[in-house]
Amino acid sequence: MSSDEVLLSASGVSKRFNVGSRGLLGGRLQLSAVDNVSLEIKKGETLGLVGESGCGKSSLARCLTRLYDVDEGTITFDGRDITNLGRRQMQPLRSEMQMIFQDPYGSLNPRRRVGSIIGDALAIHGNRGKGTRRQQVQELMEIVGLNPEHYNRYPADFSGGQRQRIGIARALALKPKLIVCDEPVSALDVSIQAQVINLLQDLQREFDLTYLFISHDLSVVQHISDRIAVMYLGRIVESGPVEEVFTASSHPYTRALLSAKPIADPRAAEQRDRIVLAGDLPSPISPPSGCRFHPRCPKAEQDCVTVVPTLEILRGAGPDAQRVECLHPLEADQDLSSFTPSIADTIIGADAAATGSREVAS
Amino acid sequence: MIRFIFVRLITGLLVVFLVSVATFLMFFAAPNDVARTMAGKAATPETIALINHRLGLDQPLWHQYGHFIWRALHGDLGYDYYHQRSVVSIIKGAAPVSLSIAFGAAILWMILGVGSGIISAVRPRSFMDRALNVLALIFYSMPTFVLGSMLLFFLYFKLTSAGHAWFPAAGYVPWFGKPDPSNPQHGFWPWMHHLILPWVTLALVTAAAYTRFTRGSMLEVLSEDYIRTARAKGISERRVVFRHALRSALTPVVTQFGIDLAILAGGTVVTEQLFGMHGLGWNSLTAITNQDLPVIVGILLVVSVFVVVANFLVDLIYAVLDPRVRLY
Amino acid sequence: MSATPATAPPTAPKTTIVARGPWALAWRRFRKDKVALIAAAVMAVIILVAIFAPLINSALGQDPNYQDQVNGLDVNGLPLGPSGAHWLGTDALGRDVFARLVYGARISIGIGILSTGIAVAVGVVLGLLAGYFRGIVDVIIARLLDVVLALPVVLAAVALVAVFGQSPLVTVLVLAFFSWATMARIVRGQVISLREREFIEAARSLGASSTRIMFVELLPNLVMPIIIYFSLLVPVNIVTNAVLAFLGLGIPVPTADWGGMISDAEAGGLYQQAWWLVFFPGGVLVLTTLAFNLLGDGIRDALDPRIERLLRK
Repeated sequence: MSSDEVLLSASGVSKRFNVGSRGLLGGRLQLSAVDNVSLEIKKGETLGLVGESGCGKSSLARCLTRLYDVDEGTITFDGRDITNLGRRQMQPLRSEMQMIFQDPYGSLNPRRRVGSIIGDALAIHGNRGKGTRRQQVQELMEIVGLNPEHYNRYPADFSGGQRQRIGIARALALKPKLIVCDEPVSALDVSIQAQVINLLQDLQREFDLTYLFISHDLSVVQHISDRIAVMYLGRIVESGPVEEVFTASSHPYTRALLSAKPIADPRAAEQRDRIVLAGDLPSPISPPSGCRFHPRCPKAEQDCVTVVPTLEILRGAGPDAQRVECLHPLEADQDLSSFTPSIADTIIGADAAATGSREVAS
Repeated sequence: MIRFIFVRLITGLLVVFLVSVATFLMFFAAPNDVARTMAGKAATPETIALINHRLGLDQPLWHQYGHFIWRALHGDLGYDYYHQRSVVSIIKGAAPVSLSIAFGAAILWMILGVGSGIISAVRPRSFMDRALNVLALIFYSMPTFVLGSMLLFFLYFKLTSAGHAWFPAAGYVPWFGKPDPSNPQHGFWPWMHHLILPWVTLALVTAAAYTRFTRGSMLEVLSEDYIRTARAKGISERRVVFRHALRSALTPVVTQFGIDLAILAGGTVVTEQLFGMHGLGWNSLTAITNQDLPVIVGILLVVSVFVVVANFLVDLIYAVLDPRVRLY
Repeated sequence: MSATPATAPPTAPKTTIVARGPWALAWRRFRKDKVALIAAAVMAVIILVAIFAPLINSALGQDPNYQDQVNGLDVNGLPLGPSGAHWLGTDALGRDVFARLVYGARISIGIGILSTGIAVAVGVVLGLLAGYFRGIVDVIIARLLDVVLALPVVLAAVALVAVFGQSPLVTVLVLAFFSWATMARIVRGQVISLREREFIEAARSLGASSTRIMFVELLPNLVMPIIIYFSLLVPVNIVTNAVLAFLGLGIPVPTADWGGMISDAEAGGLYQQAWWLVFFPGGVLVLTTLAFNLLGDGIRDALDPRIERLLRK
């Protein structure tokens, strides 16, 4: 299983997008998708990355695989700094890190045959294994549970689950070290989700794969991950081994997220208190000051508005430590619903930052 | 919106500039033997050099262009090589002819094209729809000069030789203007009488495209959800078609219309040639065969300004009608 | 130009249900379109005539350029009407109209297809570049597009031919020059929406080069608009070529060309005496463009049955 050797690490990674400008001569509007993110992925483990849609998970994944250029920070893959590698320099590394995409319909070229889609990697990086490209592709199809005789079919002839298997086979073709799974099952039916998850786990065992598994579905992440990282508005707010984060989460956001996770047992579900976060996810174009979570945090205090927290070790050490980015982390026995949102009300009432700060000051 | 207009204006100016450079380069940079033609067969090299000098053709190219643009900005497009008429006056004389042809034909083809397109779309697959479709395709496939020749042959030549002089011979008659001793006819009716055949020729050929275009656009709109809602509310079919569907269906048609009209206003070479009308098209064709460079470049420049202005107006109308366009 | 590859792979087992690719479906729709099939047949005949023009004429014992001043003209030196000896009559120089029409097919169709082919190839490449790279490449190509589209086609084409001289090559290039722009615009628009699709990102994450993404990933998605546009552009170029010839700037004489034949007949009002000189070349020209347009419509409906689906609602 997982060793302590780090395969991929990011430190202080930020990514901003230009999203237009204010008027003819106005300045540029920037969207801060990823903000000062640091994380490590160990060889052979699965790191789960969770967060609401729009929190920057996918952008982070694309920064880590260098599909995007990063604005700040460094990314190290297998001991090599890949932050500033050009497309040509990245080319050989592409075979070692692959992606599985969310949309099983959009991620396969509708006008190409399945065989050539899966064989793409072999065509680009050269045929490395035994046998012809066709033999290798058909072998891959068998490994992921597709009928190799469907080599010449088009993606439209397959179901969503089968299409995701095609995507997996494509990612697997070069036997990469790391596979970034960007919400690989969220577009699938629940019954199909389990099959695909099991396939991913089997493949991990068989080929010594490392996964970065992105999802907004906590149950899925809990099931497949060794460690998880929780993302909120472009920042990682809590990370650690999966059991610890799930049983002793310290960040109010994690706690709120966990409380929204469906529970199979109806009685248990009835008993717990669901924490409903007030307000919507703020715009990443003008993120809140201080702790980005403060406008929605029931436990927020005055300093949360001004002081930017950093990801600190809470317990443990090394990559396996539980880290949290909160000025006032929750104790394991504290209940988030016992707090009355003091800051939250005032800020949520006013969307504009200007009115917000006025009310806080009063 | 201001930003949108600003960007479009700059783009339009850029296009006019590029067209001027392109046409200028095309004609002045290409090897030409204007001087030799003008000087006649027995010309000495000295005479040719003298003519070249007089026409400014011995100057470096960029110098010629700069000179040309500078004067063009002051409303002077130069003089033609053969009769020393100013290009501006040639254009002023020819423009009414081309405009008469273009606008008359435009009214006709809009009525014919859009009308038949709507009839087709309201009852798709009916006999009427199919008949109009076939008719439209036949005219769509018919080159202007073939249709024009046929019309002239049957409606002018055959009818006249059979004693029914319903349609006049080729030639343009002005609507306004002083009686001219060589061509005493003028006024509204003679003007219209002489323009009927060119109008019909041009309108039939162009209307065909509009029939197809309107039909497609109309069918698409009629299948939209809001039309179904309107029908479900019990609004009469007439109201659905004319009040609800037509407006959005015609927006792209009107866009196309603006551009087509601008291009035609810049001269319809074939129609003018066929019906002996000395408009912009005929003048530029003559200029091209005579290598009369200032006339060619002048007319092409004016025409491209027409097209750019029409494009700009169309974009503007479009942006007012459909705010989504403003985004880019 | 039947670009319908067999969808059933040679190795596909016979027992499985045949998976119909988009091509097979389009072919099934096309087969049911009687009008398009007739148009295709007419076109096939015209193309065969063009290819076998020398054979046909030698079989009939006619030469398109032979000026028969003795038997090809009447006593007044006027052209002869249709008869057993000259099926479609003779022209002002005593040449056989039918023989010239047969040879004219070569010029008209050949120039139409060749110029369209060049225009489509150029348009696709520039459209791909503009849509894929965006930025400065896009700006340059887009302005180029605007300029070409702002020029009055007939006038500018005439001007170009006048500058570069009359020859088949010049005609082909000039026609191509004025028709690549629309293709490029269509391709550019498609590429801009396609490049945001996840499969392009997937290709990038595999390490595919830009060239590979453009030609392996994007191009197959553009085949349908390309075929549709190609089939609709050929008749346009055939007509423009005829217009050039009509204005006296086509393929140099004495090569037979439909537009040129009509132009000759117009000169001096000759056609008022000899109607067949305009009627037959004009008729063949219209028939050809009509067949191409009907076929183009049929291909479009078969490949992109959106309008048909709208009708069924």
